[in-house]
Amino acid sequence: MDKKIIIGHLFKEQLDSYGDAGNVEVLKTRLLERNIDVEVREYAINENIEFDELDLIFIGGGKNREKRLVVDCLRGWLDELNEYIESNRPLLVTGSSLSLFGKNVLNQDEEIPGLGILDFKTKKLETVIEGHVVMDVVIEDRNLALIGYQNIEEHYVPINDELLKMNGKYKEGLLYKHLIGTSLHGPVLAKNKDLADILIKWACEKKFSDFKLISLKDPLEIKYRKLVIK
Amino acid sequence: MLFTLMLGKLVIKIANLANKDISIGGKIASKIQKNILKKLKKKISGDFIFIVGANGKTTTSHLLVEIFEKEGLNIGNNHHSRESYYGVISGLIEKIKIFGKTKVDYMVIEISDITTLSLYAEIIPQYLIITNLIKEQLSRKGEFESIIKNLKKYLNSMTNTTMIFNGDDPVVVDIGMDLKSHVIYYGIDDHKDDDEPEEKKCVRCGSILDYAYINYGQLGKYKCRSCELETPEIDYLAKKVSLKDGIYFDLWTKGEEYPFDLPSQGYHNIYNILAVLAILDELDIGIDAGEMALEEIEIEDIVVDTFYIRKPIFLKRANSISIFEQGLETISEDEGKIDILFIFDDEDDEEEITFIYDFDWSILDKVNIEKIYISGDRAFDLGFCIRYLTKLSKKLIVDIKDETVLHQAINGKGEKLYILTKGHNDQNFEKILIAMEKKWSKNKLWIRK
Repeated sequence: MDKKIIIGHLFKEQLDSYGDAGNVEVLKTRLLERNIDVEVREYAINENIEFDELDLIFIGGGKNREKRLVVDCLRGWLDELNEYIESNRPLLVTGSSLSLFGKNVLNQDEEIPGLGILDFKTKKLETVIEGHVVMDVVIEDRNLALIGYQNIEEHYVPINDELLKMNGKYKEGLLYKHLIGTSLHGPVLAKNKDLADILIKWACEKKFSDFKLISLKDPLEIKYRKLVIK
Repeated sequence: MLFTLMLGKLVIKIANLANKDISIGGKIASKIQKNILKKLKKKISGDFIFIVGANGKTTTSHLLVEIFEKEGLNIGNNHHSRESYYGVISGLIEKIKIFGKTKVDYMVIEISDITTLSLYAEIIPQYLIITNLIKEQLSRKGEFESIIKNLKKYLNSMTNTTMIFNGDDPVVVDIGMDLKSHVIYYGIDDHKDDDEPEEKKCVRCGSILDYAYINYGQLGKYKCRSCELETPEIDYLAKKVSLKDGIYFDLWTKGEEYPFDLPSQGYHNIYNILAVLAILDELDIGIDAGEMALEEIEIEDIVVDTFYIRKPIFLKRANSISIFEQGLETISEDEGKIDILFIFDDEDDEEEITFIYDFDWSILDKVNIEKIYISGDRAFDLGFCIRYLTKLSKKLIVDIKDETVLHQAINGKGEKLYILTKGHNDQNFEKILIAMEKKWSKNKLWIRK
């Protein structure tokens, strides 16, 4: 393997409420199956994050207290994180952790400032939405049907229309440059290989000059999608 | 109240006859009678024993009831119900007499979800057993720290309750440390010469929890580097544990030693047995009485049925996630060439099953597996999980039609077939296998003639 991608898994200890770490396994497997070597670096709170060495970042979903710890830690990395995103490198955020990037983070009894990297506000939904969903989204002019599980108490109100493309029914996801935030939680990529491959494509195109994404055989997903999306 | 009781009893009887969950009786009764728990409590006298925890509560509760019954005591319980809150109400309605006050020796109540404990505030138990608690499982119900904080606050309102806690579990001990009531601990000293120290995150302060050894999961001997959390002094301690053809251990309590040689299986069952022995001793029924009863009871590690249709088939039915995980471990110990069939069905209120990603599926990579067949309502969830968490993606066959997959699996090339099921349909599955085995053996005899 002459090519290698470094995945940064941020704050696994705090943000892995629903088997979110499974997403890293999906990315890893799909890279290895394409003969691309993978290194996964896990970063804990207050550890030195080598943003300039990472090709793909994953942040999972977590609960309020954990999100507070994480947002406080990331405030110290604001410039590096901003530069990472602005340089079109891919970042996936699942569950309610997307709110970390906006203007505010809703905590149980209080509201704390978010990182303010993206121009949106997080608002509480009147009723909790829970269950399996199929969500139509557009990424790079491709229509994707994302399948997954939602358990959301909040939605995102973008101030900038550019962010609207990942929205489902309740404005619960965002896309900015190569940052994808989705309210679907847990191992989202396991059922959504196209989303995984978009992240892989972005990471590889950025790193390797001669990259072309090879498609993989995915009999399981093809069978599953036929059943779910009629 | 008279009418509610009569109606409740009638509904429970009908549900019983129809082989349905009796919690419907409790549900109807609570709809027509306000503060039902309070009113039912007034009509019954005797000690209440609550059993909560992530794993082992059903076994502990059944063992306790069986031993109490052997002792000739008058017992009530909520065993006939799957649903917790209405199930408890049904259990009480079942036991309580329509007229007058009912006297029981003990009412053994298993509560499925510790976070719902305050729903039962009308009943303050005399004894409360916590078998173990899993942080990841609790975290799915809300913020872990606030759940624990609320739990401590609630348990501290039970000043006269004797707490019987698993001392090998740091999550449980962290709670015990902050309680004013009397806490009794049980645990296993399973130190071996080749134990390797391990580290985990301290649930009390977030620092590092050093383990001298881990028995399994988070259970073991531990001490935090920063705070006061450590394995407490164990009041009921099992030593010299062996699992060869049964369960053997020496129980140490109050300076005395009791050797145990039991026909049961499964390491985790030692914890359940210890919880039972601790409470029997506290109730002055005595450890010897417990030992005599336990020698006649066989707790199986996991329900296994064996069939022979072209090859040996082992059907393992897991009634909980932890048993399912243990089933995986048992399968992974097979050294032959095997096929595996997983049947994973929905349970009530279990739409979200991402916890399967927390299992150690990589143990299957070392096994000589011909094919993995997967079926059931959640077949694809399990399929994707195995696709990405093992190196076995090319060996997967997933289909939601149980019987089709079963036929494929039986005709597979493995020398043995392991079937591991979780969910509602496993009884049905057993019937299908019995019928297939009969048919196969008849044909086989005919060919031999």
